[in-house]
Amino acid sequence: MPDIFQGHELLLALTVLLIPLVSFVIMTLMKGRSERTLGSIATTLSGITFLIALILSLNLIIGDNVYQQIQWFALGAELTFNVGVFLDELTGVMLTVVTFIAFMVHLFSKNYMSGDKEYGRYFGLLGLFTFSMLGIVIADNLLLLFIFWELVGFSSYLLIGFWYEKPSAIKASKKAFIVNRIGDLGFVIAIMIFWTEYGTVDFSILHQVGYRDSFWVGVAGLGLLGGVMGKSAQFPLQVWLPDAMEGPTPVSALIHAATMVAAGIFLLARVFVLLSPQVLDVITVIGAITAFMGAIAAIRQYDIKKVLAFSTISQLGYMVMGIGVGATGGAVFHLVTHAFFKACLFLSAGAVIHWMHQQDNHKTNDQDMRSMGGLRKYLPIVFVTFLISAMSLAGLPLMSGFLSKDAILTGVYQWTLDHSHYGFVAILVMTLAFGSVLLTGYYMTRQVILVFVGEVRSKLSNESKRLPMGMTIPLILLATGATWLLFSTNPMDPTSSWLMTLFSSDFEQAIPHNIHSMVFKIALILSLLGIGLSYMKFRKYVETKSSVGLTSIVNQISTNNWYLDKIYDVTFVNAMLKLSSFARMMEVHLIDRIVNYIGIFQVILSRVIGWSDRHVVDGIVHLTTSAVYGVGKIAKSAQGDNAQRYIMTALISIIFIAGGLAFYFFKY
Amino acid sequence: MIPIEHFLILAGFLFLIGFVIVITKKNAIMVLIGIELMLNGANLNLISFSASDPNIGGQMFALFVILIAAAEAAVALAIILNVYKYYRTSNVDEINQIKP
Repeated sequence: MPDIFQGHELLLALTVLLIPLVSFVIMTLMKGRSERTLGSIATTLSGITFLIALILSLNLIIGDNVYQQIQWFALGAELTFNVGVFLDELTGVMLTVVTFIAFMVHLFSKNYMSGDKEYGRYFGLLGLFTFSMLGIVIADNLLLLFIFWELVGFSSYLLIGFWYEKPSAIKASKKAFIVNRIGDLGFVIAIMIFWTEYGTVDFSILHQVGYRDSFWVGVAGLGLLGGVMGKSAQFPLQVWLPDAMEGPTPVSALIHAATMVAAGIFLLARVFVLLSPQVLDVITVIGAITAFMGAIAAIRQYDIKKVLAFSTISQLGYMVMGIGVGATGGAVFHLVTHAFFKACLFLSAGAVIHWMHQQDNHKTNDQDMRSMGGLRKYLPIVFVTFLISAMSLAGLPLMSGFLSKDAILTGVYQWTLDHSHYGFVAILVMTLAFGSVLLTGYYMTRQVILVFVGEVRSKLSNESKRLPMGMTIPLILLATGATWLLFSTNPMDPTSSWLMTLFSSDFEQAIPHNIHSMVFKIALILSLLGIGLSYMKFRKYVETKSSVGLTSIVNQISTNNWYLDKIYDVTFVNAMLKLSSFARMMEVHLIDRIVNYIGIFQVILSRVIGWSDRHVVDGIVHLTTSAVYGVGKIAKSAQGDNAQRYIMTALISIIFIAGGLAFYFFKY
Repeated sequence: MIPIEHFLILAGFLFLIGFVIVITKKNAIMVLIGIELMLNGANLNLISFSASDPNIGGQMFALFVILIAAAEAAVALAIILNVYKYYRTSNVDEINQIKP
């Protein structure tokens, strides 16, 4: 099938890239149209994008990679800058995932956002968001990638703050934007260093040259890591992600699954060959810490979306850790599987919120799990999809998450064995990685029980079981993607997955098979342990009481997300506020005053100039005109309207002439 | 015999008085009267010189002037009458435009 498209990859890639942008433009132009029209157009375009991306991906995976460039601009004779597309297997997989999730989100949003007064703007922004992410995926150099990277940040800012009349949404969108900027500073520095060291930022050349052992390349790697910390919510910049829940729920699905946080992992996979071993070690530690902190923070949340947000942070930590230890295949694999089950979880949560919202029960928050419970009786399909995705996230067998997490954990285990000379750090990384497995099982079970099991803890006014088809279809499709079916022939062996054969690094291929089987047993036991503990604790719902001792400390830490926000408030935010108030004082008392004096001086000067203009320059002009006027008046009066004066003049003239003549004649 | 200078002085006076009337009086009829005085001054002058002239060309000329003056007075009075009808005034200062 893909043969007929052979050789047209560039065209296909550009089509995939531009259709979402077209969707954005159409949505912006057709603002006032009906929801039906807008939703159908956006969803159709999104579906077409997915189909083309699928064809392109098959081409790329089966066929060759494509690098095509055109000259963007030239500085002088030798320095030219090219832009183009860099299409390899990674691009292919990412294109499919991004467009598929975007399609599902469009489909789901058609019903979910129904009734919102800015329906068109919402779909337009979805298009812009997808466009930016696709740009990142097909960009062929770091600078172009950075441009789209910033676009992703910007469009996520717009979407998180979509309900801009809510102050908390505005705050969250600003927070996401600013935290991302901090990370992007590192990215910019990295681009500059690569330009200096390699003379180019093109991936095709950078990949050929590969890693170069120099101090500055190491710094550049850390800079890239900074960008990834911002975009993929790694410690210590993960604080924006939980707040980003203020956006509409399908947007959260898009951000968490496909478009935004995936960008960081994608970047790491792209530039993997350029990262020095030291940087990779830093990445590993950061990833492990993030995975653990996210998991801990997730265990005591009561907002249905916050649990998922923290679990995303935790899973992103896994992926970053996977890159760090060298298991790029595992990381990409987990990125893909995570996209499916996290999108499914978020959309299921969206369905739950949607249903809770219909109950006209405004006593409690629609997203508070304490007011839910027993929903499996009312939303059976959502329960099933949520359960499958949760199992996948917890890493139970037959699920895609099991395969991919196993691949990463195997890498981590092997890395720990290889780096046993690090001592404490190596053990810490492994402990955190495997501890997070237990916690993942724990918090997901807790969430499933709180939401779906037991009795409903709020008054229901509408017990309808029906969900719109547009909502259930994406859920079912995504839940299918959360099982092993799409990814592997053998549900127990990650190495049999086609994604692993495509992407696994030499490091991963060298891992002996017995480690695989051992790691998967450990992970499974830990996961089941977490599930069991959670089941014991939450089987019967009890209103939480303040407990004492270790549990209370953990609870406090979890509820407050390690007090990171407070720490940042006390340190950076306060310092910045102080600095800015100082700057403001300087501004008001020094600069403004100088400006004022300059202004006053100008006014005085202009008064003087104005006076001289009025009285000197104008005076000369007036004098000239009045002189001319006077002369004209005199000249006019000689032949004017007054006959008597006319006669008088004539007489005087005659007297003068006669006198003159007489004088002339009688003189002699 | 009265010397000719006396006549000439009287004629000059008459002419001057007429002239002053012409340039000072605002009423058009008074201006006309001034013109008559000037004509008579000129006539007197003609006749004075004619007295010592064997031909009577000067006297003949004076008769012509009187005749023309009579015709002129008639025409001028008619004009003044029409102007007065049109402008409702005979003040020469106010009659300063030709257009209707």
